[in-house]
This record gives sequence, structure tokens and C-alpha cells, in this order.
Amino acid sequence: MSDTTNTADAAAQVDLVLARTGLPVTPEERERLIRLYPMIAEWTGALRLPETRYAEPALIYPATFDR
Amino acid sequence: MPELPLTIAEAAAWLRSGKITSVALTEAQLARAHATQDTLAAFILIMDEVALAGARQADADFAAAIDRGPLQGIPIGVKDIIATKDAPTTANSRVMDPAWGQRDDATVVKKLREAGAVIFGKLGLHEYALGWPDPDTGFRIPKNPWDLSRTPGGSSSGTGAAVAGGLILGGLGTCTGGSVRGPASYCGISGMKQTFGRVSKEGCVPLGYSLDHIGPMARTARDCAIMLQVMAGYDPLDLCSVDTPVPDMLAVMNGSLAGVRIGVPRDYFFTVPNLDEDVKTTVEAALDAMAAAGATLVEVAIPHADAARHAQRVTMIGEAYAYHEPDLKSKPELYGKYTRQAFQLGAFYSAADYVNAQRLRPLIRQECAEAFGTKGRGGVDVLIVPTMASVAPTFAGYDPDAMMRSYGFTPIWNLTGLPALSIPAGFSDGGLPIGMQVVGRPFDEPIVFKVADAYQQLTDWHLTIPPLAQDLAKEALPA
Repeated sequence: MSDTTNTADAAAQVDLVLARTGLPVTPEERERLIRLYPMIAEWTGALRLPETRYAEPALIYPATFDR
Repeated sequence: MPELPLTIAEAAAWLRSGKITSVALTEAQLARAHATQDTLAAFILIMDEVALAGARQADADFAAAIDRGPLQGIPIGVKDIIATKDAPTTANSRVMDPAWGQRDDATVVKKLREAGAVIFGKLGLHEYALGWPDPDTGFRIPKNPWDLSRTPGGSSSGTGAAVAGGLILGGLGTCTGGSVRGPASYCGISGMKQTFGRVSKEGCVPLGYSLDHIGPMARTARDCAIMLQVMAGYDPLDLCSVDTPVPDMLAVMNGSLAGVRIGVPRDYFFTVPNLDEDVKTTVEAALDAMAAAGATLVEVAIPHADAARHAQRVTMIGEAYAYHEPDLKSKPELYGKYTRQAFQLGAFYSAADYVNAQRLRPLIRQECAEAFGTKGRGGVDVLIVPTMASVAPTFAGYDPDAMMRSYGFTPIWNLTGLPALSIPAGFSDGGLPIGMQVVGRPFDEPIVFKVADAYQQLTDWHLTIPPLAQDLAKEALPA
């Protein structure tokens, strides 16, 4: 997710995601997504911490036939 | 006129002393549930025949000196996102495939029945355990017994309303980011999200696979402990279930706070801008009362608590989007608008965002471990923080985007998997309940229950009944 925050860029990003995913939205929902896009970018950006740069993710897959 | 018991523990004693039968108790609760469907609207389905059959069996067992434990003969509600063999499961959604619910009981429901509980009905919820009620979907919207213009919280809205309203003595909720503890706080009851993996989530429609819990909700911490004792245990049908012994949940419950060490992470949990002053002063007063009763308060810190909120959201919405994507594309109009809009955000998280959220989990877990410290060497037994930042909001004027922006105190415990119990801590100036969370080390639920129970022996917030429930309690038992 980029740090793009201006509305035109947000609209372009939202349209790109909607086109790629094929997710149908109403015009009002598209406008909402454009409004929220900078916040989403900020929040996902907050997950990129120097402390976790080399951390292992908490993903566990038990390699067993028992479960 | 005889009254009904307030708690599971009290009802269990009444059933064994002959003061009441399970059939009489169940009939009275059924009458209350039906009488409030147009006001509280707690249930999607009230299962009269199933409940009465269960109650008759419980009474027959008592008569034959068969005692399956403290839940025998107790009416218990099930959030309608958890499968029951004798009723459909809707997840409060027109999207839900009816075929999904044509199956056996979920593991937890099976365990409750084996313990003699009376399965009473399917409780309302926010659609698919997310979002906000949309009247256009046609489902009833549960109301808060303290103020019908306010939400009981979500997503276990029906369970919160039904327990607080005295319609059932205990119920199942589910929790991915606060859906047991939020309604518990808003409705003035107790609600437990135990350690992740302690209770099987087999038979529950998923929201966030790595965050989902099925938890007990009841008036007291003791009742939650009684329920969890039955619900807990390894289940090979749930990939997330942990094969570890189930302790006696009531073993250390002695009513004492002497020697208990309570960690208080004030930064973030007591300082975020949307924290109501009422909530802050109420929880601080509860901490003071616990200190006066012999507990030691210790300042601790969880430096990345705010980032945990974002990691939980990316994880929950990402996992939910993967589950719902086909339906969001093929029949989006069948979702309630708030649920659909919440799920839509999942399209905007990348795979790297999801992995980054999972990379944050070990960091937060480590910070929690440091906050707890080492037991017996200056460490703390539990943490205490507010449950919700405010009292229950009104339905009118709901702004889902503002809600999403606000800081929360519950998601971090789903992200870390730590056990967290919300109990009533007092009331606002406006007379609405306020809750606080007692958080424990992994798989250390007994100490959480001990501390919460000891606080509930100091106070009577958890026994304060909403006026609506008081009116219902005045009604006579059926002949």
C-alpha cells in the first residue's frame, strides 16, 4: 500500500483494486472507499515496524496426517 | 410469588434442593423470552420444544440421582452462528447457505448437552459477527435492556441482551475482536474470551480463523467459570485446538485478593483520546478497591498496544474477506449494508499487509510476557484495563467509519490469544454499565476467575438488574 493520500490518487488506487478484484460496489460505497483509503494506507503502514523487519510471522501449519 | 435464580450457581443449588425444577425454570425463562421479543429482541429462534424436552430429561436425571454437574437443567442460549442439530443456523444473514446448518451440534454445544444443559434458543447477533445491524435485512435487532435506544454491543448482541434481561442464565458468544467482552461491558454482565485454542470453535461460522473464540457469557465470573469448565478441552476437529490439560476453573477461587499482583498498563489503555472520563474513573476506582482489599498494583507497559489494533483488523478483515469474497461478488445485495462495507475493506489489504500483521503478533506477545514478568519474582498475576472506551452508544447517529477509527482495548487479546474476562466495574453518571477486563497469562484462566470473583464479592455491580428485567422478575412462575 503506498502513502498516497490525495483524493485523485486515492480514487485511482481504489478503482485499480476494484478492477483487479472484480468486487462490485455501489457509487456511494466507492466514494466511501476513496475517503477511507488514506486511513487504510496509514494503518497498514503502521504494521511495518523496524522491530519486526526480520521477525517470523505467527503462521503455523502442523505437518502431520493426524489433524 | 417465587422469584427466579439470578445465577447459574444459584439455580444449580435450587435444582438440587428441590426449590425449583428444570421444567419450571425453563418454562419461566421461555415466558420471559417470548414476552420480550418485541422489545429486547434477543432471540432469532426460541426452541420451546427442544428446551422443554431437555428440561424434562434433566429433571428425570435428578430424580434418578444422575448428576452431570452444575449445568444440568440450566437453560443456555446459543449465538446463532454456532451449529445446533435441532435448529438452523443463520449467522443473522440472508447470505448464509441453509445447508451449512444441516449438521450435528458444534463441539461446544455437544459438550453442553452432555453436561445436562438445556439448549434454549438461537441468539441474535451482528451479521456474520461483524458490522452493525441493518434493519433492511429483516432480522430482529437486539436491544440493550438498560436503554432500548442503545445497542447491547456486538457482535454477541443477543447473548448480552438475554443474560442481562434475565431471559437466560448463561449463553454462548463468539469473539474475534471483542464480541463477547463488548456486549458484556455494555449490558453489565460477565463475558470470557479464554485462551485461544482452549475451546473448540468447530461448528462455528468463521470470521477471522486465527482470532475466533467461542466464549461463555453470564451474570458472574463464577458462572462463566462453570460454563468454561464444560466447554474447554482439546478437539481434533479444530485445527487451532490445543491439547493441554483443562484445569479446575474454580480451584483458586477463594474470594481473596490478598497477595494478588495486578499489572496496570496505563499508557494507551487509560490515555487514548476517545476514553470516556466516566469509564476511566470507574476502572480506577475498581483498582483502588482491589488494592484496598489486599491486591498490589504494578505499573506495566505494552508499548505497541496501538499497533496491535491495526494488526488485529488486518488479520480479521483479511481472513473474513477470503471467506466471503465469492458471496460479496455474486450476491452483495443480500448482505446488510454495514456488513458488506466492512468486508469490502478486505480487498484493500495486500498479502504483505497480512504477513506484516502476523509478524507483529510475536512482538506484542513478547511485550505482554514482559508486562506479566515472572511469577513469584516480581511478576503480576493479571492485567486490568477498561473493556470499552465508552458506555453503550445509541442506535441513532451510528457512524461505522468513526467507530472504526476509535481506539479499542479488546482486539489486542484476540491477537495475542490471552484470556480476558470482562466484568461489571460500575455505572456511568447516566446509569449505564461500565466493564473492565481481567487479563491472564496463556492458559491461566483460573487466576483470572479468582480475581474477578473476588472483586464481585466486594461489589454488587454484577447483580444490579436493569429495570426491564426487574419488571419481568415480578411475574409469577407458571403453575
